[in-house]
Amino acid sequence: MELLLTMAVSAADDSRVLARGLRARDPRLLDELIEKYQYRLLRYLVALAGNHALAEDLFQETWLRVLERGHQFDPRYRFEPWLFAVARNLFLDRVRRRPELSLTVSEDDEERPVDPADVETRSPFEEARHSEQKRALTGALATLAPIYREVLALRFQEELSLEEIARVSNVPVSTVKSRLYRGLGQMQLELGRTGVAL
Amino acid sequence: MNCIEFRTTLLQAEPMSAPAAGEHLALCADCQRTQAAWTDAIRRVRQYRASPSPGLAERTRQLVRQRAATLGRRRNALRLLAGVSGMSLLWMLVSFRLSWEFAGFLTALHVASSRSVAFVGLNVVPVALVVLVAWTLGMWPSAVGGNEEDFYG
Ligand SMILES: [Zn+2]
Repeated sequence: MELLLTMAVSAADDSRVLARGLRARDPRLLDELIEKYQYRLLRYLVALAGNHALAEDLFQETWLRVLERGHQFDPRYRFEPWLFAVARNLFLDRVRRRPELSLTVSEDDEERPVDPADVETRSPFEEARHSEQKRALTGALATLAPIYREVLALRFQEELSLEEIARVSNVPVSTVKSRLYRGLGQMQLELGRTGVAL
Repeated sequence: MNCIEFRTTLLQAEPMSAPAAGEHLALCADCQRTQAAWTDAIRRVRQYRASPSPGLAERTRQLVRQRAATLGRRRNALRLLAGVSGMSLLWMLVSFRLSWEFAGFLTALHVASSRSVAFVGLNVVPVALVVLVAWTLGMWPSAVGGNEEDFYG
């Protein structure tokens, strides 16, 4: 118990030190953060964008934005969700300019139960997009809609809590849960359909 | 614990972390199937990797350092401008009477059409000169590397 308390206090101290460094735009701190989070941030961005080149572009923009908006980091929360939220907002800015990168699915689609046709019937355009994603995302996430890839990656790779994911995605926790259910459901179907490791 | 609660537990934490979840799982074949399928799916999510291309981190660090330097120069330019503006204002306050008298003198010499015009000229001209000098030397805040809008589009 005492150990847990010490760890919590130390994490809070770390967050405060981090917030001070970000406010001061300390270049050494930024260097360390880039080093520390490069794999996780890029992995999240590829899951989000489904395109490696775009993800690397957004990666650089994210760190520039962290430099400029570092004073907005709230040390009461962990750094990772804030970093992912910055990256996500930049991706959404891109989407506004290039709608073909869309992240959202319609409300109806989110309400609908998982249908095997979702993964079995694709138009030629969707098929092309699907193969493009597969080149970028060679893992099991490749077949999913970005909105489901995102929550699955945040939950099971980045180990964010449901509340943190809700803050990153700017949606209620109930929506995060339903996206996780649907994402896992779609993966199950896809795995069943292909019957092999993706 | 019912099936929905059990599945929510699966989403929130490592499976079986709550004793009630274990009890439910032992009795519910449906959740046993779901847990097996989700465990497999989650394992595959965790297998997924994306590697940065060589030098991405270093290129990013350089970009960040350049931008930090630009922002630093801009902050200094803003401070300089604020300082000069403050000094000008102070000078205007201190020299108010002197300027007014001198404006009257200029009007008497027919250099200015009226005393108020001469007074405004005497006070605005030094500030305009400071702005002009800052602009010429490239120390005006907007002149110090203001390409962010282009970058973010
Ligand atoms: Zn059950």
